[in-house]
Amino acid sequence: MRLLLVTATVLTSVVLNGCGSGSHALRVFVASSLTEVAQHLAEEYETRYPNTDVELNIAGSGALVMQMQEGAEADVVILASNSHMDQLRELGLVLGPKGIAQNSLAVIVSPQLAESINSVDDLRHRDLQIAVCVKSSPCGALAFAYASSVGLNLASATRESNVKAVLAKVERDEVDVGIVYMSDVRSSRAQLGHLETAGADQYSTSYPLAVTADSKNKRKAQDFAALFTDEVGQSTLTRFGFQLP
Amino acid sequence: MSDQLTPILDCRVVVERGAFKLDVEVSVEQAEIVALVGPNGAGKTTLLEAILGWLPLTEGEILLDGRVLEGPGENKSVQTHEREIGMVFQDGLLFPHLNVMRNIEFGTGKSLENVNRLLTALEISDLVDRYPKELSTGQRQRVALARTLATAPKLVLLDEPLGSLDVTGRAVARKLIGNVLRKTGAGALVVTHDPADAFALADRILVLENGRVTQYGSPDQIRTRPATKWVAELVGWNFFEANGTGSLARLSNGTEIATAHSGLDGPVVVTINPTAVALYREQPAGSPRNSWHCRVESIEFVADVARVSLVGPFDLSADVTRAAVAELGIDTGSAVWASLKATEVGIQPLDG
Amino acid sequence: MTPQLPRLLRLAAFVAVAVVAAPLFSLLWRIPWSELPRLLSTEVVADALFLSLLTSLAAALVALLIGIPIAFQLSRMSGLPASTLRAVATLPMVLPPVVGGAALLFAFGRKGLLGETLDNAAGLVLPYTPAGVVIANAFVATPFVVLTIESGLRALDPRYELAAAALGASPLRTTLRVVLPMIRSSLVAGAFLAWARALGEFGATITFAGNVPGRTQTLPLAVFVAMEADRDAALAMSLVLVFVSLVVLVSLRDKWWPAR
Repeated sequence: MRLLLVTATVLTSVVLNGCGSGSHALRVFVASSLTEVAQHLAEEYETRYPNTDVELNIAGSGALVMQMQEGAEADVVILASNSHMDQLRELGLVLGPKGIAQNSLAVIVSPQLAESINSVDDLRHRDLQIAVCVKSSPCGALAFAYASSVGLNLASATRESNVKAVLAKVERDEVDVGIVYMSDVRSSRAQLGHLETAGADQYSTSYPLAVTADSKNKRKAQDFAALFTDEVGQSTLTRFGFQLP
Repeated sequence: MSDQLTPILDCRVVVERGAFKLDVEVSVEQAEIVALVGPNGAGKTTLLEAILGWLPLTEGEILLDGRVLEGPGENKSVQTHEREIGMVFQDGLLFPHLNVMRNIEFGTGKSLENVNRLLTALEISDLVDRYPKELSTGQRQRVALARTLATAPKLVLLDEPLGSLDVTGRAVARKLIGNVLRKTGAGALVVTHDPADAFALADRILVLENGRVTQYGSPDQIRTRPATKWVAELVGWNFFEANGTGSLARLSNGTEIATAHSGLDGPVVVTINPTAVALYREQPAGSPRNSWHCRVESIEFVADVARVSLVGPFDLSADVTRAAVAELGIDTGSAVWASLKATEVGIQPLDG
Repeated sequence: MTPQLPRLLRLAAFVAVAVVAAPLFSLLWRIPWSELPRLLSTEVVADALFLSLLTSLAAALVALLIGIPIAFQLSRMSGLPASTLRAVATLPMVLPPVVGGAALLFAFGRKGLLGETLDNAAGLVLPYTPAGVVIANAFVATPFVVLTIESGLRALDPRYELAAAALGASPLRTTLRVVLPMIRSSLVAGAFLAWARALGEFGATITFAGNVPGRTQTLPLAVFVAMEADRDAALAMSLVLVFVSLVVLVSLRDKWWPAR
């Protein structure tokens, strides 16, 4: 019984203190389309400032906004649309957001059908399974706007919670077509088809970055933010298919 | 075992379960009631389950009315539901979700005439709409019998059908069951632990001890010539193991019992009918060889008979009349002489 | 009558109940009660509710059809083979539903082991269809049927089957007329638990059947999407799920596992 109590106490303290890495870590909330860039720059940051760990929380922008609203602690937030960042700014949760990158839509086709689908007409006239992001996410909002402009019916499309889920489904032939970001096309290793003539690249979103209002590591947060605008950051962004603002 | 008639049931059942081995030959004639008695763990229920096809035989064969249900050379045994053998369980085992009528109809091909006759014969016509939980133990038992007989089985197995009834209920139910069973003409094998049931109900009694048949005969045969200690105790007989020499049987404590047999040699079983034991206040004149000085341990009266338990050179029971007890003036603790004619001493070889 | 529990244990129980009840209470506290009728009558919610009812009922039915034979088989086995089969049959209960969904994808997905054959042979495609939702729900719900019915069968005196056989009933007739009616309460409990589990299914559904409004977007999926878009709608739908689950559990009372 005593052993059980001791064990329980130890376990509780470990869980509550987050395994001891504690307050030294810099917590960064990142929209999932920025996954590779964020991972890359986090490593870069840790090389430059060896004393500080970067903890990435990667999710769809909508999920991140929700987490922030419910009181999640973060130092830096990078979202995939200005409107999502506006929600946080109106609540006074972030300080002066700044655009760090642009991304545009891309219509991609599964490896199996890459050869046989060449135009938006093919999409309209064939019975294809399409995947998009949920409407409430930045890439979903763009996708639905684009689809209505070209007369593409998304009623039977599956709505994934973030853009990486859409990409994965197309890569594995689980769906035929997906609407994702240009950056995803670049980062994918699968033999995807990319409908360059679809005109989706006219639809783009910008990525705002902000330091949170109640961050306890504002200095470090500023340092991390600065990474995105310096040479290393900019070359990383372009390498992964983002445009600079 | 019968000379002319084909028995309804003719079987040799060998079932091995770990260390326990059941090896039994049984035959049951048409319209015959055979009682199956024996101590706990003798294998009575195992035998019924094997005949029913619930337990596979290790060896042997089962013939029902000349049809092989299971046996050597048969590559498949007949399944329980195709055996035409009925079984009445100790607790009735009525289906709780069906009322009495639906229970009874469960196994019939809608032969309502038969069902109505059974309802009347077993005095359960008023109960048809009730559910098993609304019945008394005795009623449940009768419904269970009706349910089994309604299927017109060639053989009925009954496992302690009277076991859960009180004494008065037993006597009534015993008579009812006996009458109904005999009318159907089916053979019946009845497991019972009560010798009264066996003697009152059965045409023949089969004694099963430790997986083997130790005696199979009419109630009279069992009563007059019990073959084992257990049977002797069952019918109230005295029973001793002894060593025979010539006409004498010597008990392990050295007491000698004279018999009318001769040429005894080696271990034997001595059986003494308690009614053959005579009691005297004084040592009997002429001194029969078998007379022993004893003390009365207890006296039990059953109707007009007094069962006197004696402690002397060996323990002995004597059945005398109530009048004799009064005449002798004996009571618990009294000293008496018990005597026995040599011709009344039964001798059987000790079963290996 | 009943001996009193040690004070420490009673205190612990009180705390534990509070810990479990707190989130539920908080959920109720946040619900915009006056807005409820409007929130629950939007097309998305109505669609999801209808789809959820339809697919969860179908899934409970499928779970019964799959689970009953497994339970019967299990009730006749013992030792390692029984433990092994039981572990396999109840795995979906402890497996993360996402893993279950992924496994279903590999089996019945468009590129799956069986899915491709089904598509070619019968033109049957399960992912992104209500049928796919039913399959995903049934997959996670079946263990509840297996466990409740197996324990019901084990509690049943096998001599009832012998009694039926001795009355001339074939094994099939015995099963249908005696065994199934006698384990009725286990059947009901298994069906309701399976249904409740299917109604709340999320992970396997979204992984295997996707998230297509009106086709595969069940109530839990709609809650998930709405959490980021329309919080009040999400709360309203959550209330429906909590209410239905509570009703099922309370009405089952102690029929979780049949009486000893």
